[in-house]
Amino acid sequence: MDSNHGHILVVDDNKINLMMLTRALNGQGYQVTTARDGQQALALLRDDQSGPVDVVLLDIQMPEMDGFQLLEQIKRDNDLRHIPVIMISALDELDSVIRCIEMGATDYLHKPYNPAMLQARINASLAEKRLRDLELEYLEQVGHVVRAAEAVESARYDPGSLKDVAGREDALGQLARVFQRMANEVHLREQRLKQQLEQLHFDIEEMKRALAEPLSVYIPMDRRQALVRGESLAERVSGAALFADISGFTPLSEALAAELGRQRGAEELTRLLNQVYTALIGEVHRYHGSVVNFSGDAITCWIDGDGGQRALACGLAMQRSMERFVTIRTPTGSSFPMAIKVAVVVGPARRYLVGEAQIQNIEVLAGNTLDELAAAEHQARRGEVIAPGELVERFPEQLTIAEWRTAEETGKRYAVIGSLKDEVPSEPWPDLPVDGLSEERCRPWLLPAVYEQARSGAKSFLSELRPAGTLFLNFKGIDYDQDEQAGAKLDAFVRWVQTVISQYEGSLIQLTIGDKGSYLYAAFGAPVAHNDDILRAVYAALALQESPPEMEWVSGLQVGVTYGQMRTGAYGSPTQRTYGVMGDKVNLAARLMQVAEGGILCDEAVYQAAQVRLVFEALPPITVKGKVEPVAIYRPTGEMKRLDRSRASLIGRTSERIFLGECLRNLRRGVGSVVILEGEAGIGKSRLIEVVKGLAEGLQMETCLGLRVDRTSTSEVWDGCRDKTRDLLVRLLQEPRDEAPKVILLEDAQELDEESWGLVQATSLQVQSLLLVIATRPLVEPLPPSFAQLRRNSNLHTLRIKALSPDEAYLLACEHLGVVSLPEAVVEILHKAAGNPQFIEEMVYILRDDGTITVRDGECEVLPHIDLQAIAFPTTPQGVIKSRLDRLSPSEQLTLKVASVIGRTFSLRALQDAFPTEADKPYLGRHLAALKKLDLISQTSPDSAYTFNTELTYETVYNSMLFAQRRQLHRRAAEWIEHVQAADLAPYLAELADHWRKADDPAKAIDYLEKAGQQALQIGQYQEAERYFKECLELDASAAVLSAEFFTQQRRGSRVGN
Amino acid sequence: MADEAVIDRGVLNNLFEAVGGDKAFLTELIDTFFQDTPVQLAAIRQALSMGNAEDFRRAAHSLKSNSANFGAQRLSQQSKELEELGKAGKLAGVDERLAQLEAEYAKVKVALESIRREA
Repeated sequence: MDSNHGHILVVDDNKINLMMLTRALNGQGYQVTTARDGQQALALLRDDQSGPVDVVLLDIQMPEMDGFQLLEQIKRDNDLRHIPVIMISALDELDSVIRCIEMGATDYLHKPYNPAMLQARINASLAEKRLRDLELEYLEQVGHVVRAAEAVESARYDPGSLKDVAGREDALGQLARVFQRMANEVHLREQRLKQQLEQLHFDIEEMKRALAEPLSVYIPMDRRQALVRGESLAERVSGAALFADISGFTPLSEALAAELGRQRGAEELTRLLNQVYTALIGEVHRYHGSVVNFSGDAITCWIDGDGGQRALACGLAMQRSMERFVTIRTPTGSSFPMAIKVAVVVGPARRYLVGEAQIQNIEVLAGNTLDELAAAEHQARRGEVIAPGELVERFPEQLTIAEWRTAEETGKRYAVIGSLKDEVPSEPWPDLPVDGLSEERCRPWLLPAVYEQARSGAKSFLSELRPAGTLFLNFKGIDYDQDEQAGAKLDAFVRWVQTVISQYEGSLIQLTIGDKGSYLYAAFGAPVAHNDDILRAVYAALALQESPPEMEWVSGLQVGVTYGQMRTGAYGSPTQRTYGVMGDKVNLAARLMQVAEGGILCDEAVYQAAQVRLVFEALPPITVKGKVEPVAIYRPTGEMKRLDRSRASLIGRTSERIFLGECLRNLRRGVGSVVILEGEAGIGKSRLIEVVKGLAEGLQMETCLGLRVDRTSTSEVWDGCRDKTRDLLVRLLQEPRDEAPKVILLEDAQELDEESWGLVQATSLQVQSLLLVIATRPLVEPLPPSFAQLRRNSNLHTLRIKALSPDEAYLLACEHLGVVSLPEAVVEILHKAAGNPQFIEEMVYILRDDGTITVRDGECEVLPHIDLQAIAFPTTPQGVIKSRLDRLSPSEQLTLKVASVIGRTFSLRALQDAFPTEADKPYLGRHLAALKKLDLISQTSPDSAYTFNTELTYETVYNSMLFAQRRQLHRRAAEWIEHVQAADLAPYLAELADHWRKADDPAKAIDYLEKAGQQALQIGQYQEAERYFKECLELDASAAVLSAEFFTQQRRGSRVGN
Repeated sequence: MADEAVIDRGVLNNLFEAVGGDKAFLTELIDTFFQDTPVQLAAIRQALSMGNAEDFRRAAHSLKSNSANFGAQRLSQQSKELEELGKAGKLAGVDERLAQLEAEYAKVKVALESIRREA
């Protein structure tokens, strides 16, 4: 609106007046609209099309609706009341004018008009109108902010709604911008919450489905159907083979790991993988096919008796079903392409079931047709369905061919299928009765450990990210097409391999038959983990190098062994599942196997871990597809190294070593003593024991190693160690007068019972010339009485082994890596080890084995773009605990897991109530007793609560759970407290908040934190209150209000205090 | 001069100035006045015969203000008196005044016609 271009409505019934005013106003540059009476004027004012009116010039005397009435209407109308009205009056109408001003008119003009006066009055009104408009606009935009605030509160906020207001340059604009930013955060968080909720629903659905899923889903569909009918499958078959390979999971897996952390990333990937497999396997089953083998991200399927049409229709349907997975979005919005390629061939094949049924049945498809399938697959590209030329030429009328392709090596022609002209009818399998196959009948198709877990209802808990060794074994010598004995030979060979692998407690994961040699893939560390899985894998490789004499037909044995992080667990669809161990190192192991030239090749990780025990020969590095840098390779010679731990350098511990040396020198002079080395797991007690042993042997003294527990062993062995120690002490006590200096070294003395301590105490007093070195973790109250007595011996010294200083930690890490300096990023994360030498060792080895850091020519480098801080380190004591946990029954494992959710200390009742599976509840007491016996948990009296023995055990158990499982268990725990303590929740507020937070329910967590904070405030615990409110804030920025309230109260509180 | 009494030239000059000295527009105004006034006079007569004081008053008011614009002071004054009578509802015996009003308009018309011709 230009200053002189306002829009003026002139209302007068007098034509001459109208003419004159219009004339005068036009001359002054205004836009003029005229009305002859009130009704007409009102209609014009309310009509949007004539444009908004800025000023009304209004005559008082008019027929129909006069000036008063019109003015009244205008002032009564919310949309019009702000328009200035100037009354036109005759000189003798002053009374009327006054009345109009009282009614809200802005000004008046006398007739006849003075042009200057007219302009002045109109301009004044226009100026007022403009101010008023600005004010209105301002108020309107304040209204936007207020409405946005209301929308945020009621969760209807639209992030775009404040755009106009936020564009203002004044204080309101600033307010709007600040508000917009906060509201957007709240909005985003709500969106995230919604997503998490959906995710949770999915997890729950998945879990429910998994619980209802029969174990028969581990058996290929055709075999399953035959078993239910009481039939067996023919060994010689004819039909179509289909191979489908999913590409795109590897980059997605890395992105998800980077965005969600490694464990959650692995879970999310498995979720996506299952969605894709559900779609693909659905099509296979729809066309009467069976998934015979899973191999990583690929499936090999068989459609019996099919001439190819059904297989091609199935392949095209699989491609269509992949359309919705073309782009996978990660939680932060990056997108990844995903595609499959499909190859189809037809012909005769062999269908074998081989292997040691006690270990696992292995399903095999073999023969020339499968070799052709492999050749065809090599010609296929993403998004294609490909088939050999002779197959599509069988029914040229029914197909369209998108493209012909010729294999370079063989000259064979392949067709990329465009479409099928006629629909091929699908032929789904008949539904199987729910109880068609008992668990016992399904058992041979599952690995024993997987069977145990799956049977206990823990199916969905299987997916995990863990380190494992990978072994690939190549073999030749069976002619599947000509040799009638092929099946028997393969069976014998697989049984032998399975037996060797199970000796080292590894698991056969996959068997693949091909014309260029067949191979077996075994994993060490999944599903069952050990401390020394790498060594086990190499030992197994060495044992598999020569086949037994009765299998003289086997040739071409060569092995690749690698070690690294793997995605492990069950995957597939609800109708067909498998247990998989997948990862980057699987491909590397296969590659090493190919180039092993009749021997064994290992990667750097295997070499580094196994070289302490085994002799390796370093070979020239090789280049591997997909890796820029050449890969270092090593060949184990089969020779064992003599174990010499005292060689290991002792960083730090100087004063301890000097002191122990002094004790030995005193002993030589006939003065004995008792030294207690007390420290946490992994702190270096055993290393010091080794040092004493080495020194004593150097001084030709008699040394006896007492209790030494292999911590991977079971409880019987522990008891055995105790007995051995006791025997040793008793033998010494029987000859107390023997004056030869003796050194007794006792490790893991925290395991000794009162009786043993009694013997130790007696020995220390009665046996002459004795140095007794006892290594123990800090003992907890109540101390065994004899130990307490022992500590009062005058010749007893306690050395508390402390954490290494940062400098020592640095040196130790350098030592382990064989470098002289470390990158800053590595130094920073060394703090996580808190000066624990064993942790430091594990940490640097994990980094090195992962390839996160590389060591070349004495220099250590960190892989670019890697956030070391984000890596979760398993530590050796945890690794130990983990391998112990793996040996527990699934029910006992679940017992510990549920307990860990309740807390480090838990009652049987809480455990029972929070336990997710009803069937286990009656046995919880028994499980707890077993766990107690294994020293994982303890109880001060038979009726008291249970406690995890060490913080480490507690943490390890807790961290071994999948997030979905933790969420579910925390929810149960919270609900249990809410239910049982409903009468008075006050003592449990913080605990409840913690459970709800971990159950991913921030709203409830905030509610309890707020209550906990208020409660702390009331009793004057301001620091506590502050902590709760801060946690609250971290969960929810909108809780800022709360915080402000808190600080006000705190000020008030401190004033009262003053 | 007779027309001096009928039309106040000072007022008319003001009007002329107010319309920016536009003679054509002044002519147009005068023509409108000539069209309008008989309508107003007829309205006054009809209101009188119907005894409608309000219509009577409004028509008189309109004539009052229109005639004032052109400086027809006496016509305006007479209209004002009729307006006030109408306002007071005293329509009895206004016939005489109405006749005077019509006579005055006839004079004003003559005077304005001559002015119009000058313009």
